[in-house]
Amino acid sequence: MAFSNGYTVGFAFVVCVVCSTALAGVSMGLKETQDDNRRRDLYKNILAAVDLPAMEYPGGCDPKADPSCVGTRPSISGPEIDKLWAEKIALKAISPANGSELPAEKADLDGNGVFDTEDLKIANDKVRKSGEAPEILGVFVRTDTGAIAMPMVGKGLWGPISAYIAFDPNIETVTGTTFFAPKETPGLGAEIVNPPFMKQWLGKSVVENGATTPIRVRKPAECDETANPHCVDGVSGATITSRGVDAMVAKSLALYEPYIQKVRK
Amino acid sequence: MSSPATEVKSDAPPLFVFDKKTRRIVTDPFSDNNPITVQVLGICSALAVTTQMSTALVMGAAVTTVVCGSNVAISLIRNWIPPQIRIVVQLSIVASLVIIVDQFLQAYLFDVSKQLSVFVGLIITNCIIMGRAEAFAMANPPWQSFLDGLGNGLGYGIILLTVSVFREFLGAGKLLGFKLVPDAVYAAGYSNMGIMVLAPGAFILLGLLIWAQRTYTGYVEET
Repeated sequence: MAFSNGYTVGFAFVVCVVCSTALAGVSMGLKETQDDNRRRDLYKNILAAVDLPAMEYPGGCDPKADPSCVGTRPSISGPEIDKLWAEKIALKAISPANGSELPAEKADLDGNGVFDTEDLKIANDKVRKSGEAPEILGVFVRTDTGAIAMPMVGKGLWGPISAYIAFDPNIETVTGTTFFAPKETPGLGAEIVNPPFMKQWLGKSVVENGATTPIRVRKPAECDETANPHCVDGVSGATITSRGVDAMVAKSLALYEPYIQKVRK
Repeated sequence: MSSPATEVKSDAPPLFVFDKKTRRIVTDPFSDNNPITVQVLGICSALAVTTQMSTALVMGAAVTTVVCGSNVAISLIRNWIPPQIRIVVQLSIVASLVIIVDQFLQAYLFDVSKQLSVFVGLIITNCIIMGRAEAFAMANPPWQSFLDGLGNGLGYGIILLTVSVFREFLGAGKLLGFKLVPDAVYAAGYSNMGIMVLAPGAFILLGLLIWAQRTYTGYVEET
């Protein structure tokens, strides 16, 4: 069967219109659910850093009875995540220059400022390209315990790594962590997202003689994690990822330094 | 690499037939003409998403949905597609279906979709789908094309699932996320096989699977 050029062009046009209409329809119809998922995913990660839902939560594994289950949290439904977030988490906007708290209306997750790790990644790129520092920094405060969580972003071996690290109300010791290593090698660099690595961070100190000191992620010969409260044992076979975590924490703490000083006063 | 077009002849075509010949369309790709182990197509995703059963299951389901949908859609319009642009038309339909599936995964299976990441989008380039569209759907009515898609999608899914069972069990001591290897075994000196979570582990398993299957069916590659 021979087709004329006009028919061919017309056919291609109809296929394009049908396909794009279908795609636009599906995308619009599902947008709300997808946005909910993304938001809850962010909430869940920050909640985990400040130890919520608590590991003793029904269905979870009690770390006091079984030390192997640090970092394993009960899974909770979407609405429960929203509820916990609304009840327990306060978002604070702070000025990166002097660490003072900014008016509450600036503390908007979708607004202009560095709140989650994505924001921090963009802000870091901006600093590198144009030297333009962010104007608003954010911290997540767990209202009942006062734990403070901050976003951290760094470089692993194959791609970006990031974390939320939570501290006690004086920002002196680590109380919880959530790490992300989406591109790191499974079994090596990607081990930083697993409980054995995360467990080491609990109780580590970021203060020495009144000054902020970053946590060092090294091999035990260089920095013994059992004797020194500023040391974490890096992952064997993943030196570059471990160094990346080390640099990531140092860089983010430096960014938040004015705020940290203000909090400790 | 694509298998030759197999035309199903039916003179007075009833819409839904289920005779022996039609059944073969579905069952053939399970073993005798399996897209992965016999035709060795779609290997890239088979290596990438089989570290866990859950991702393998979702990937198998996604590919089955796309190949069924694209086969039916292409078969329905096969007599109107101008031959000069048929590949572009097939690709547009396949790509649209893949994006739709991806959108649904992001809305209803968010965690799995995050783990599958780019591999859902890469279904577009999976040779099985374009292969079936070009080799089967362009020459056969919708019902047969649907069955062909179902057979090939499931044939792909079964292999993914088999590989993932071994990889998750040997590599992480779990199945579907449940811990199966008791702590006592680890305490006695057993450790997970790291190679199973990496791509070479999947290659080795897939090779063994192909070997076992070809020994069983007696299939020999034509030279």
